[in-house]
Amino acid sequence: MSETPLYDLSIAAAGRKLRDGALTSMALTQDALKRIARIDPAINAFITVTHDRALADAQAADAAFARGEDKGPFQGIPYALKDIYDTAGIRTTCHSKLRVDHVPAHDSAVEEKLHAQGGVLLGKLATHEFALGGPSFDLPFPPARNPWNTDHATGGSSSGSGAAVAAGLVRMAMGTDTGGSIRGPAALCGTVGIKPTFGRVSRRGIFPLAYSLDHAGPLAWSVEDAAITLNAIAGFDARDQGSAQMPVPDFCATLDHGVKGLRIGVPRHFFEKAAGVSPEVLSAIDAAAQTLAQLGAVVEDVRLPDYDLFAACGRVIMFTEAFAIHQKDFQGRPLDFALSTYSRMVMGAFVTGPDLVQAHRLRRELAHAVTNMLQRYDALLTACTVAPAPLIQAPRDRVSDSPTQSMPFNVTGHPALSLPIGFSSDGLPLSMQIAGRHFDEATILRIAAAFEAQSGLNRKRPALAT
Amino acid sequence: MMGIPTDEESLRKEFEAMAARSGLTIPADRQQMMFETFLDFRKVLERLHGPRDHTAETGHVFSVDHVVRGADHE
Repeated sequence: MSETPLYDLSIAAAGRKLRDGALTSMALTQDALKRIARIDPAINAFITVTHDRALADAQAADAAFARGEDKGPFQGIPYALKDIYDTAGIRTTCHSKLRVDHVPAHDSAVEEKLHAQGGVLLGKLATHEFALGGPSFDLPFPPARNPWNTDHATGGSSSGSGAAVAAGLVRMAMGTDTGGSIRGPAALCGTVGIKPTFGRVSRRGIFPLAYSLDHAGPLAWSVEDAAITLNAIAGFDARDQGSAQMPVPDFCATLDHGVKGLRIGVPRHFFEKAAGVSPEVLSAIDAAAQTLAQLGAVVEDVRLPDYDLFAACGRVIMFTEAFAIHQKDFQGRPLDFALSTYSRMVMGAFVTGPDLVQAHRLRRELAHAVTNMLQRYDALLTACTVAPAPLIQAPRDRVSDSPTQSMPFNVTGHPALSLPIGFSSDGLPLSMQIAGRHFDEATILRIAAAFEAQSGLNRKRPALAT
Repeated sequence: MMGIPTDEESLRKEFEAMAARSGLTIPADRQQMMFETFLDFRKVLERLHGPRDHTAETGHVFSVDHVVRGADHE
């Protein structure tokens, strides 16, 4: 039986080998660094590779294992961070000319946790500028490309995170999600990506896009690895004023519980007639719903408020909050932004006070509608993106530049994940989105795990990764 | 009573006034593109307005039981 290549070992499997003494963190890390050197020039996932830091982290992890210390599942495991997560002493650029030389003094909360648990930082990943504008060719660093076909975009804004995980450069990459920026790249790059409940993971030390919509979460190659990561990073942080003081369960504990008896609602009206919807996406979602039904779930169509209400609400709040954050630079340095960032974020200047109040009144209505539906159903199943990855050079809609339908659960704060469900006729990943009750990430992970076990889709990697 | 303007001249004045109010000088080569984006965005803003009376409050997504507000910063 042939040995699984190192890059294809999950966090769980690599962790077992590290603890058995069959593998060292140094070997895992050196393999990852070689793969990054060989593969990354084609996909531009990394802005900064922290070569020396990675080797030092790996050495420390191996020494800790040798002393009998075990700080948790991330000990010795390489990972990477979207380049809006502060890393002390390591530049954090936000993929922008405005911060190209910025070196933070302190780690973000997520980096503090992963480092304390013995993780190995491989580097900082490409992102759409300030988590919004991209893919852009007028920035200090090139945009990330889709490993399944490098003529295609990754989705954003956690573009480098999606590309790096799909290409097998890292097992887990942190992203952020304000309107779909974890789930979109996960969907278009064929990985798992989870946006937890608002407040579940600390946003401290992450450059904000929109305070009330920002979420931190992982992209990973498997549902189990996403759950392991959530275990490592979730929890209350008194220094993040959006942090939720809620008990943190073991997100892995119920992964293998199956879906028998779970009730899953499908707001088909969100996506079935959406502009640009791909028939292949519709067929794949139907097939995925049938798979879950065959596994014992009750799957039914449901009706929520119209999708465009969620989209309008989310965009108005996002652009307004983002513009407020960057207003001084828009006044003083407008040409230092990428055009795509400027054209979208500046729309926040055209929102009146009453408009914003209306958005927040609508937000409350929409949140209640989803919460009420989730009193009758354990989860919702919907499209994450309505089409496969577009060409990276394709023109984009000025106000919304992706086929992603993920904004509803940023508006409402419910946890939601994206999961691969197949491939297009062009070999590009297709996905679905599963959303759940506030603080019930465990159920959506459980549903995703059941589907993943049945589909076996995470056995196939892009050609350039092998 | 005046309605919301829909003619191009009025919309352009609104666009210029709101940009100026926000302290923006939109680069000349972006003016037309940004004005067109503003027109698209106005359609998004229109979707916010629904049949609500004074009892329809704003709110964040959680009850205060779950979220600690106003935590101290360093």
